[in-house]
Amino acid sequence: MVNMRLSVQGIEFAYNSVPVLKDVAFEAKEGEIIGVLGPNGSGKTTLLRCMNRALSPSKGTVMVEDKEIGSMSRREIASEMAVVPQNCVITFPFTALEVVMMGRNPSMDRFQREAKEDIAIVKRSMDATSVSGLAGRSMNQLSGGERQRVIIARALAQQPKIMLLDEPTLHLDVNHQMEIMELVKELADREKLTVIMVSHDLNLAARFCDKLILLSEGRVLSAGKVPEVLTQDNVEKVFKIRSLVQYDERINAYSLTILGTVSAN
Amino acid sequence: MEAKPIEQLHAEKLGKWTLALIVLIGALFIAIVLCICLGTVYIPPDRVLAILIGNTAGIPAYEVNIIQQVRLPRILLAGVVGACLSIAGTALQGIFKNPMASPSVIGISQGAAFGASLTIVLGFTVVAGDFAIPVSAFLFAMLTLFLVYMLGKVEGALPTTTLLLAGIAVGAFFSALVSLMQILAAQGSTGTMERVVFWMMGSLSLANWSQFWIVLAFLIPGFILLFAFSRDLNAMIVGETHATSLGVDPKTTTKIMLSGAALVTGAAVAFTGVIAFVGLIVPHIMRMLIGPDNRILFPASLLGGAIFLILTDTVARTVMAPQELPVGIITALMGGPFFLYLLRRKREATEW
Repeated sequence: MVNMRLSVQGIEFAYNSVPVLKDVAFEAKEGEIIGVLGPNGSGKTTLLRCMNRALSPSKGTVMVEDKEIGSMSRREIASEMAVVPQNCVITFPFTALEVVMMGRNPSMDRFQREAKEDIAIVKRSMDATSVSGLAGRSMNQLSGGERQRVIIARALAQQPKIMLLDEPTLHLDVNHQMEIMELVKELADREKLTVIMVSHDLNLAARFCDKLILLSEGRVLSAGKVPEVLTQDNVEKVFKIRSLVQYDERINAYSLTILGTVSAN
Repeated sequence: MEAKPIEQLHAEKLGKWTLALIVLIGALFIAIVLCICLGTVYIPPDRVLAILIGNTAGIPAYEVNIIQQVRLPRILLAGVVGACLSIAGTALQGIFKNPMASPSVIGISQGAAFGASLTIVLGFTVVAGDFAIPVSAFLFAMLTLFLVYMLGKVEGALPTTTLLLAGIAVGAFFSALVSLMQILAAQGSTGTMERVVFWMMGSLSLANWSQFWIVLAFLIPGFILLFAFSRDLNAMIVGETHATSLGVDPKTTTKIMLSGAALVTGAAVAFTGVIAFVGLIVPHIMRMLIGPDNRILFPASLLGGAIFLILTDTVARTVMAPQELPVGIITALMGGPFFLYLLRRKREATEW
């Protein structure tokens, strides 16, 4: 086991004694993008929330390198793992800069003010996601894609080893979907970030992820490289669609074609 | 549109904060001196300042007396009460992510008034002293918050409509209880209605020094508590999942904000009744002037609330002199239209 950045072992979780996750395990190296796929209710978001201890799993461990997440404080977890949640609607007019600056919270004491170094980190993060030009604008005036890039900049400002993304392209138009995914790919390569991404979009996941985890009713049905996971059988079983995954030389990645639905009976 | 560099934006923000604090502290000082001058007997500022620094030589004794025993305690009480209500409003607006929230709008002032008047009517103050009043007011403020939260929440969130409806219902209920209790306790003796009006509209007419010190004793820890968690509150406003991922515990932050708001609301209401809308107007104006960051919003609301209530109370006691108005009439006359303006804006735009 060389270079395991993240290791999730035997995670179990139940909502009101209804099991949601059963013995979920996987590992990730640095710089890897792992896509978590599955239909609604398969436990994808719950898995993400167990990983950063927003929820406490009843069994299992999450290790970041040699440290166990369960024995860390929230602030310590926040400087190892950053989360990019689905979407954000902010009631009061915080600026993009203020929101990215919040990424420095975990490394600051209660009454401490941002130091020069914090500002430099924030600047680098905003440059990396090309939102420096939006710094003074109110979050509410930004488009969905811009807002998402600001939230990713905030996650970067936490200087994490792992970034958890919960459907980062939801509600975005096609152009912004590509833009966000290209950005994520670039960050994984350049910053050696390990990215765990929950997605509904099989095609984007097939194209941008190094590995996939297919969840079905709280269990890992299949895990591994894209063509190993998105087999016709697996996709049909979990998503009730007929599909074909092919390597497409034009984009130098896998692409999934949906051929049709399968009736549930 | 030209974009300013990040360092500059950040420096400008901090500069604005410093400027705001200096201006507000200056304005508070001016408001205090000015309002001490005004009243049935006008006392010029130079003599007011002389008396304030303890130099009473050559000044008539009755003027010294008016200032030291009547005007100063009342103005200082107005200051701390206004500060309490405003920081409570800031905390509530933040935690409910709702600019329409304030202690009186969501009924906790009325709950606190019930707690306070219950203690007085039952005579607990004879045993425990005046300190028992804000303690009881605080406990009932907590109870009311809990009620409003349980009644108003929809899937864990508190939307404007249900928050306001639950607040109105619970507030009206406790208002009725306060009035009923005052009438029953007095059994037809003179002044009963004045006491009902006192609690319903709020008034500073019975102010004394010990009340000021007691409210201050609640304001200081309450403010420190809220201010200490102001950055956590910022993260909560972006969203609970966001807060968790930034290392903030949403449950702890919510508890701190609600109990801090109840603490200072209880203290504010204990001796002056329900002075409505202060906690709605002041945080909103401060947010418009210096932005939504709670690290500046709490101190700015503290100072702004003090200034606001000192000025409105001075209007209340001078505008129809010698007849005095309950200060709540003035704040409600300003707050009612302001509330409607906010409601319309909320409907028309998402931008605050």
